[in-house]
Amino acid sequence: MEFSLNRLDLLEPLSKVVGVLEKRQTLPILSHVLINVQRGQVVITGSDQEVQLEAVIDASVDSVDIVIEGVCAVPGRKLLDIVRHLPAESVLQFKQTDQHVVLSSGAFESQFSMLPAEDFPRFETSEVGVCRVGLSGTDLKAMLSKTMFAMAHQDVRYFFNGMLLELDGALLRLVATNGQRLATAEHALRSRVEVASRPVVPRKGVLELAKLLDDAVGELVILISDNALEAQFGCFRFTTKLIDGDYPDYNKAIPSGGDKVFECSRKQLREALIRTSVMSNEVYKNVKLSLTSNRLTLFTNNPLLEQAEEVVEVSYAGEAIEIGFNVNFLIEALSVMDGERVHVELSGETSPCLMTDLQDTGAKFVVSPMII
Amino acid sequence: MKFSINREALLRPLQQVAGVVERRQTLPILSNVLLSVEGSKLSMTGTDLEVEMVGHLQASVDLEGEITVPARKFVDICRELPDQAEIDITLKEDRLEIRSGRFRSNLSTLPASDFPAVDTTEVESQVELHSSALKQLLDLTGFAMAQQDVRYFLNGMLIEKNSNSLRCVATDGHRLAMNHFELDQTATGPESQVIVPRKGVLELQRLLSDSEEDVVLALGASHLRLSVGAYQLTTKLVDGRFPDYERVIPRNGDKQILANKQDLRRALNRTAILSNEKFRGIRVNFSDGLVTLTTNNPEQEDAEETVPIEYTGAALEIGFNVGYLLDVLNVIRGETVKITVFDGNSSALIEDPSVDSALYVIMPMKL
Repeated sequence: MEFSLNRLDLLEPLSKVVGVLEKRQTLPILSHVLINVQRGQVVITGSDQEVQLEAVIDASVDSVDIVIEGVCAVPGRKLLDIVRHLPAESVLQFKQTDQHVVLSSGAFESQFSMLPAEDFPRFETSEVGVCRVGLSGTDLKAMLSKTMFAMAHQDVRYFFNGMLLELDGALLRLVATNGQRLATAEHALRSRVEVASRPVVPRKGVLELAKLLDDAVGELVILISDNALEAQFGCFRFTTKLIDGDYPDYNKAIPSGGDKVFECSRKQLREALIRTSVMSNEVYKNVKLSLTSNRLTLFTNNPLLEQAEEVVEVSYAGEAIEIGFNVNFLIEALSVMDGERVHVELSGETSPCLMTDLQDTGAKFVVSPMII
Repeated sequence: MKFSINREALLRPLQQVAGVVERRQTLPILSNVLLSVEGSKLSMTGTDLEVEMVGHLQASVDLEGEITVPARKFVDICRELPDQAEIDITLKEDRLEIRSGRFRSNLSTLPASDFPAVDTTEVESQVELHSSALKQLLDLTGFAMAQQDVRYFLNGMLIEKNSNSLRCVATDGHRLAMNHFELDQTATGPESQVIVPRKGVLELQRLLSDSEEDVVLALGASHLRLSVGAYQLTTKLVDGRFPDYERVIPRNGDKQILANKQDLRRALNRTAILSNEKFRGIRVNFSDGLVTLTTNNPEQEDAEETVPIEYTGAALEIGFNVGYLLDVLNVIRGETVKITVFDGNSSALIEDPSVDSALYVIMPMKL
């Protein structure tokens, strides 16, 4: 293997690929990136056995000059650290020797240890049941940021540690829940999908995908097969394994017909909740909501007998109700909405609350009450 | 106690004072701040028994008094109130009521009489200087302090006041940083030498700004106090004998090297990546007009880079901890760095020609 390229053409792809590697791993090969030089392309791959990211640097469009083809695995973080610290405009020369990969640039020269390419855990995606859909990176990113906070973390109900991606007709819907609160967002597709599909993407796959989708990402192609979800954008191909399990029927969890309905300023409600949360019980994080005509009173207290109270103006003329919630669940949902005003539906003190962003009514947030 | 105050006036001083309060402490009262209202002034005090910070500010006072409340929660509430909010604070029996607009809260309290006061002894000598000058003294030396060393006196900084200068020295036994500042006529009292504990130094750095504001540094037998505007920071001193720094500074160096700081720093940053992660050793070879930096690690990886320098003389190889070299180059302000060496087994003296008051010593490392 021998090739050269401009630092600037390598830096961004390499730093994204290294980004998916786990900081600590059990197998040495998992701290390595695979560099595959062939057919006029330099392909860099990183994996943590659950998610995999591949970046293609093409010789026809970039500065790549391939002398000898080849493939090997080198330590990812160290390679990135060096590339990052080299001068901006430098040209990097890579050359494989018997036991090392030599990287030189100007007066700098380094030798990396390497591992055989065969040891690298390539992930093979199944060809079965492939569903293909195109959408904009910005749209997907917006949907992810409205829902991913609600995923569970290390829950025994393993399918909660992930996100449901439902493709049905011309609609894409994301659903995340930890059993106590739920967030869902939807987006109309430009064309109908041929096969309906409901993969569950693991937490790490969701977080990595959201991280990769910055503003620069344009169009995105998503391929869903039996065992993996693949997202292609720009020079990147991101793959994540799927969680094998039946996601619960989220429709049952979304309440309808709540008769105690009010609207208020999202910003005011969120800030009042943050202030009162300071005095809530540190373990249960409970807040009591008292809704009377045009007034919503938030109340918290803790075992030290400290308390906080704030009144928020709402538009409400119905029956009075008192209901308790985990204050963080409410704050997190209110933080990801876009609109000025939020629409809240309650029905009874033991029934969940439904919050809707008036600017994006496809996004729904459900929080179960707490009995205080 | 009853007073009201604008959020903007209260928040920054409160955060500054609460900054010295440790997250975990043995005594509940140490997580509290002391609020004292007297005349038209509010004083807030936070302490961890080693470092104490007091901030004074104007408030519209209805009723004098003093009480302590949980620092973290008090800060959180004030931070989350809207900009420019008027905050009304009233002591009601054993609760402190905070009211602002439609928000109301009751904080738990502990009596002010239980709050530990740092017993200040008499001031022996006093120095007045610009905030920026003291900040630079500390910033250029603080990095060399030890951390959790059994030689407890190294976990701090020596501050030495002479008749005409103020000197700071920090060392962890492997490297040393020293800087001094020439004083004009404002210094009073005898010469003195004190060791300020690490946390005290970090808090001093946090309180000082790059402004021309005058600050007063007062040195006592067991305390050091810094007064900056409305703040007073008092830190206990470390009781111990600081090593004689004059003996550590190599005076026999006969080989002088001048290098471009940026070029050398960047080359060190790159080569450091393939040094041994634990020992961080780097081989430095000085030869005519060129320095060669070489590292390797147990994975048989290595890196090498050459950087042009101004040097004529015999070739010389010295091993260093690359982290210590980088720490020094990171605080040097000028474009050029001057390195003076004697041989491969002697410490190197590093100077910044643009700040001639500072000097740095790094011991060699056997590789």
